[in-house]
Amino acid sequence: MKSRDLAVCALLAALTAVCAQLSLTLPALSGVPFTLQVFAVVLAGATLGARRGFVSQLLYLSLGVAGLPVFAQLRGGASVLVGPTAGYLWAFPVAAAVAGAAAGLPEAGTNSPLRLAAGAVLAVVPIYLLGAAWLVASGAVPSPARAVQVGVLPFVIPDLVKAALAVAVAVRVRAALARAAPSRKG
Amino acid sequence: MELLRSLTLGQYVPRASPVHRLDPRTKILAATALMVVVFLVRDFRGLGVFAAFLAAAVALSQVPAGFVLRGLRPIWILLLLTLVLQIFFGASGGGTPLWRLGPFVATREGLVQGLFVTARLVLLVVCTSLLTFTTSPVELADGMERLLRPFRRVGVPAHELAMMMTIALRFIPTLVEETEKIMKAQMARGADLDTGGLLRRARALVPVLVPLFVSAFRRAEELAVAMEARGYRGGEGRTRMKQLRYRAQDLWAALAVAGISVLVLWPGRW
Repeated sequence: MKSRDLAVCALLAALTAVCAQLSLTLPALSGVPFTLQVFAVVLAGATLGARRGFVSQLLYLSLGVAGLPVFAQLRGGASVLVGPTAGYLWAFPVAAAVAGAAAGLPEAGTNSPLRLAAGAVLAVVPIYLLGAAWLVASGAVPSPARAVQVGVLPFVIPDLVKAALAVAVAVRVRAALARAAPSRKG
Repeated sequence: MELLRSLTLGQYVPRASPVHRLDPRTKILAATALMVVVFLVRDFRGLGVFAAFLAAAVALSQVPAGFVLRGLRPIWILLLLTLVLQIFFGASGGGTPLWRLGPFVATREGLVQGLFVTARLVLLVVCTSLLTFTTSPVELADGMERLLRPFRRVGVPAHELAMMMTIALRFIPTLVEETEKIMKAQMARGADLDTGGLLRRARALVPVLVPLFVSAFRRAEELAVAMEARGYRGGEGRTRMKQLRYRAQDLWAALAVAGISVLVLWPGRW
């Protein structure tokens, strides 16, 4: 990895930590957190591309393991990453990679809102899959059907809002990065 | 902002205990092993032995019990939900009914399983919390780098991960400040950030998030230039201020963990 990639992945991991604190709290009984975390995950992928997006989110999880309160509601520590809701978190690197793969590298000059939107929606799929699977595997919820009921369905609409927000921001950030790119070569 | 205050040390509770003095690698491996063990436990006796061992470790670490219990606070709703779901739906295909609540039947099997699963989750959380209570983030990053080093051959960037963790640690407070600054700047321009429904609020965040991300990319660029100007060229041949070294106490800790694992998982009763 080049030092530019190191720096940019580290900064985006830090930014995910910040975004996770910009949360809108809904009185959800299930206790599964609801925040701008997912937004930042998608955006990291959409602005960094699949590979670096994956690395930045892996790094975000590592910060959490190291005990920093980087997750939603200032939670942190290795315990969050093995607790009942850990599946959602473990899916973040995959989700960022999916968003990045769909969007393509910003340096390539492509900036299609349609591809970004497809990536943002697809990125949520691994989060739900792993999240629900781990709810069952950790014993918190007795059956897959109930896991979908308490751990997926309540979040579909808010997550679509976040995906839309991610697309709106990604288009603008990618445009800014493309403008800055030519001067970088010098 | 609460984030700023708690971010420099995370959950670390500085003490001069034997647990704190262990090599971070020992603690990471021990916590991982114990996590696997607690998932393999099949009976209440095993959970009891495990809990006793964990209580002893907490006492030895001098981390106040209140801290450990506070770590459970974010998940208590979830624990309750787990218990309730298991009591009513845990026993698949019947079981001894205990009482009824409308169409739902609570079964004895469900109750037993609910208590078991909840206790296991609590032990899991306490066990991993102990790792982050007794090890500072920088120590953990060092430990992870060293543990991942053998996997470099198969493409795991051990040094790079630790380096990026250190960079991220350094920049989180900066980015928090930046977020506040941008929010204030946009509010001064008439942005309305805290009224309206979900959609309206989400829309209002766009003028905050775009400059935030663009500036993060600019900072990364500047940092990369600064690193290269100072001759950074990756992990090869880099020296470090703190050397990690296994000592006798690490061997004792490893033996204790191995012993307790056998005790916990030993089949049958005695």
